[in-house]
Amino acid sequence: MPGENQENHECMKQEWVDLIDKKLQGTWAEADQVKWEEYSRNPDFLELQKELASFSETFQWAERKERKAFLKGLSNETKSNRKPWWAVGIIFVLLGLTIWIIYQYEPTESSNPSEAIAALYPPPTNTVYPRMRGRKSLDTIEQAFHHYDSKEFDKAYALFLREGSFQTSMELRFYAGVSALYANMPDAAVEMLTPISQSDHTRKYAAMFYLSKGYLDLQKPSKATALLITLGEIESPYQNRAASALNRIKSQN
Amino acid sequence: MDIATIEDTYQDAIIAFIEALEKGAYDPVKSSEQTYLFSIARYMFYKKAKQKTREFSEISDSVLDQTVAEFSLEPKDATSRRLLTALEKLDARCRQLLKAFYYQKYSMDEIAEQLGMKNRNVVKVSKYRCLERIKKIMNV
Repeated sequence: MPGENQENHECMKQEWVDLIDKKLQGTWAEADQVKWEEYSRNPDFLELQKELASFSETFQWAERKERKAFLKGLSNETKSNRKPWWAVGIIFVLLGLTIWIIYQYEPTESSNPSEAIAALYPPPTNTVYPRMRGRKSLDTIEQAFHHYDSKEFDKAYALFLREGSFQTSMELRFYAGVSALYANMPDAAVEMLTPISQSDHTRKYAAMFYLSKGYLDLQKPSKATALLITLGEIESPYQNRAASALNRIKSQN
Repeated sequence: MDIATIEDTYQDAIIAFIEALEKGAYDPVKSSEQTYLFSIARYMFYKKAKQKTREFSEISDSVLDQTVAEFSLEPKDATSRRLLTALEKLDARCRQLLKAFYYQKYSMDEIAEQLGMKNRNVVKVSKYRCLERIKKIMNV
């Protein structure tokens, strides 16, 4: 039948997309293999699979293009009404300035966290729990946040771990990491917070900030300082706090 | 090497450096930011001039080779080129949603929270519609 035929040749099918997403996300089940083999006979499915698999790289290129355009724009602005060697001169001056700034904050291995530095790292306020009220399946998470608010961080961390949602939610992973940090488990905190600090999640900068405390607790001041320098250069709620923490570390040396 | 090429290479080096920071490929313990950035730039210059690098920094050429080899401004295969063109024509909201899912690897629940959507099912349906849109753009 022509209608049936057309339907079979539709390029986009929700089922196809779901199946390909599962494969890309690594949530592939054995039963999916049968479907995959069946769909793979259709060239449209194979094309869709190729396209979805290329998305990640394509977004990377899109971002590169944006960044390149931004840098070119900056460069053109600098060059307008000036001779080319001026632009080169300015680049060298800017690079020199960057090096000087970085050297100002050059970390030393001997720095040690003190109470003064610890005071700069109050536990972040729980902004998740109120939004979770009324959700039936999140009882354990509610309990975890209850302990978190009561500053019983070891109990909170144990519950976050037991519940397991931190594996799929960066938000919960953040609180699990912070709980570990204040429960004096800096190794666990670093493990929890690192992926968030390397992502584009809204908690990225907060994760970087608390990760720096994790490294200080682990007696790895150079790693902490590197994070704080990066944070100090980015406009975020943690910019000033990062600068203060850096100053404290420097003043202790 | 002319000034335009020098400028172009420096811009590429800065972008490659930012990506290394984002991917966690840069290790602040092994080298400072400026060493890493200059090493990438130097390596790119040598590559362009088709000369062998002289190893005078603590970062090995194999590390730099990986960073620089992965760097290009235009996709090489046709599918990615078509996708890139289509992505640029897609509306911002759809682009944001697809980026969050396929590039930033956020879960449906996280995307729902970030984009202010009711739940993961709304995200799923919206994502499917966005994919249909991009497919249409690609087939025009």
